Amino acid sequence: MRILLVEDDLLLADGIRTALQRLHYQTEHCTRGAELVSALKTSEFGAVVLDLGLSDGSSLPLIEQLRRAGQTVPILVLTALDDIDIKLQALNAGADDYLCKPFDLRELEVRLRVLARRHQDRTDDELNVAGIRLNLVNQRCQFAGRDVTLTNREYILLREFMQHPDKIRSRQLLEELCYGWDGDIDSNATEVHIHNLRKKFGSSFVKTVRGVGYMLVSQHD
Amino acid sequence: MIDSIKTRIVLGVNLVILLVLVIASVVDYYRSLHEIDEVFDAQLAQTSRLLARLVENDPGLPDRLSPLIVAVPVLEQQLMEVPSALERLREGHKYESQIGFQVRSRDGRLLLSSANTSNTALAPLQTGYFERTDPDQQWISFSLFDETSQLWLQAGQHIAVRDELSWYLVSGQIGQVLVTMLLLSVLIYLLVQHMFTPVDALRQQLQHSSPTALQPLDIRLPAEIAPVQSAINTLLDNISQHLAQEKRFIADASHELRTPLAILRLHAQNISLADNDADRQKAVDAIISSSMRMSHLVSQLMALARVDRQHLHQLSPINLVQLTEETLAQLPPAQLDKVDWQLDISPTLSVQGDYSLLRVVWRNLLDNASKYAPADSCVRIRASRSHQQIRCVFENDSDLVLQPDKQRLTDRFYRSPGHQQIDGAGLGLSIVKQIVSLHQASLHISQQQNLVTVTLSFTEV
Repeated sequence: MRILLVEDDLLLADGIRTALQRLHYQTEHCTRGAELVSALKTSEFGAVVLDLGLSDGSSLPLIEQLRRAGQTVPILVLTALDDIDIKLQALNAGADDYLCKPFDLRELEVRLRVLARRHQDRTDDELNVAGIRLNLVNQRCQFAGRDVTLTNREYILLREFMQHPDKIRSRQLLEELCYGWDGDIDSNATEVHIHNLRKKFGSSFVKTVRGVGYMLVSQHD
Repeated sequence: MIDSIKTRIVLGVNLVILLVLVIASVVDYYRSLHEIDEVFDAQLAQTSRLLARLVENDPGLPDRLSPLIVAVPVLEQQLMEVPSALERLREGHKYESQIGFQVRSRDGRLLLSSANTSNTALAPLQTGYFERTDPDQQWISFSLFDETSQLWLQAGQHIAVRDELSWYLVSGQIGQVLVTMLLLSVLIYLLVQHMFTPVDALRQQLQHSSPTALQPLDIRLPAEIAPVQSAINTLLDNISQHLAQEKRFIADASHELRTPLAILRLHAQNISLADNDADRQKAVDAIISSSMRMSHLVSQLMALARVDRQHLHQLSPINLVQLTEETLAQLPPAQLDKVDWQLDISPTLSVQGDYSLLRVVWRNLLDNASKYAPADSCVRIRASRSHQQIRCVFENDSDLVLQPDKQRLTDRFYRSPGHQQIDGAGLGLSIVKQIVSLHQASLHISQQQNLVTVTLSFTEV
């Protein structure tokens, strides 16, 4: 799952980004509302973390604008104002959740996971697709009754496929998930990871859609 | 000393009335006594004359060997006070024993006497009034010598009658004063109580007003206390404004401290989770710069709080060259060396102001100039006098575009978009503005292309 972080305080943004990356969330960062809109147009994100106190004052109108445009991405608002009116305004404008600064990293991660769960119409954080079980809380993966060890990027890719079964995940998306916008990648890197995943879950794991990307098929014929 | 005005009024008015009543009663008493004396004295004289006419027709009287005694009925004194009509008995009146008369011969031999005075002489043989003061026989009498019959005629009245009467008068007066006083005190008390109702209402409203929601008092008050209410309302208004200001300050401060706190917490957690030295070092650096930012923010907040509460007391002439040079000397070396400083200030130019506050203004403006100016660019500080105005101009280059609405630059915690990478709390210009307006001076900020100009205009005294 990729997170888009909109925060104009660079020190804070850097801390959040580092923390989320360590918890297997590829995080892109921008500082202004306008960048958020264009980022959502060009890439797919699992959730947006938006600072409500952007210095250009654009946060609230931005949420309304996104929702009016039909954007359904879950939005978690960060606010330095522990004020009920501000929270209500943000939620009414279309935000899905809020977190007051200073917050605990674990809480941020759990809330993001919960937002994704709700967005994907799940009731728990145990994904179970095509005989693979993946626990998003403890990152434990089981296949054919055995624990499977995953590298960081394999976990990111597997989670992405399992969260979107039977949906094509584009090559670009997968690359960005693994390496981010400014990641220095070899075009074959993603294929290498997919190859490794296939070794662990069998050759039929994820179908290649030629020229487009990959897809995890939930039911084998 | 009695503290309550109500008690003072009630007591004071009661005392004055009591005094007036007592004086009036005393005067009344003596006047009544005098009138009674006059009536009784006249009666005694008249009785004597009546006796004279009566005894004239009794030629045998002077020759009597033993005096003729006129009986006086002995009537029991009633203990209870009864109406006068009930005391008028068929047998006579109990007071008859207190009134007597005597007829004596020229040499003083008693010829005729009322029974109650048969053993005593009412008065010596001399015409006119006489007051006998023997303890057991106290009589006031009138004596008359009738030339025709050559007889002394004396009519007397026991002093006890007049004493009793005066006692009645006194006790009557005392009773009257007491009853009047009692009635008046109750009425005065009620009246004062009524007059103080608005004051009580004022007290109650003040007692029940909540310190968190101070409402102005709105009681219909008499003209004497109405100014107190309006003074209280002015005070309440000032307090509310002050509280609102403090509340806003606390809200602003807590809001602004939350972000650096979040940074500290996040990076601290990152340190504990980091698996390599580079990540750990990055988090440590972030924590250090965030804590520096916090301490800058706290000191700026303190400065703002001080300025908010400050009134200018003593102004002194402050030399602008000295002020600028001393402030520059206090800048951190890195900031001082970052740009070229160009001073164009006449050595004699000075403004009236509070030195420590103007130091804060200069420090903030010079700090901003060097922070926002590109490295090795030039910061100019000029000061000149014209039209009784002293203008201090701070100019620096800047690649950053200021907010078109320059007014917002002096808002608390406001930071121009795009300036986030430059450290600052967004309080400097707000503090400058506060201090400048304390000095009755003006602050103007403008930007032309890359040149940012901050102008302070002081009025020359």
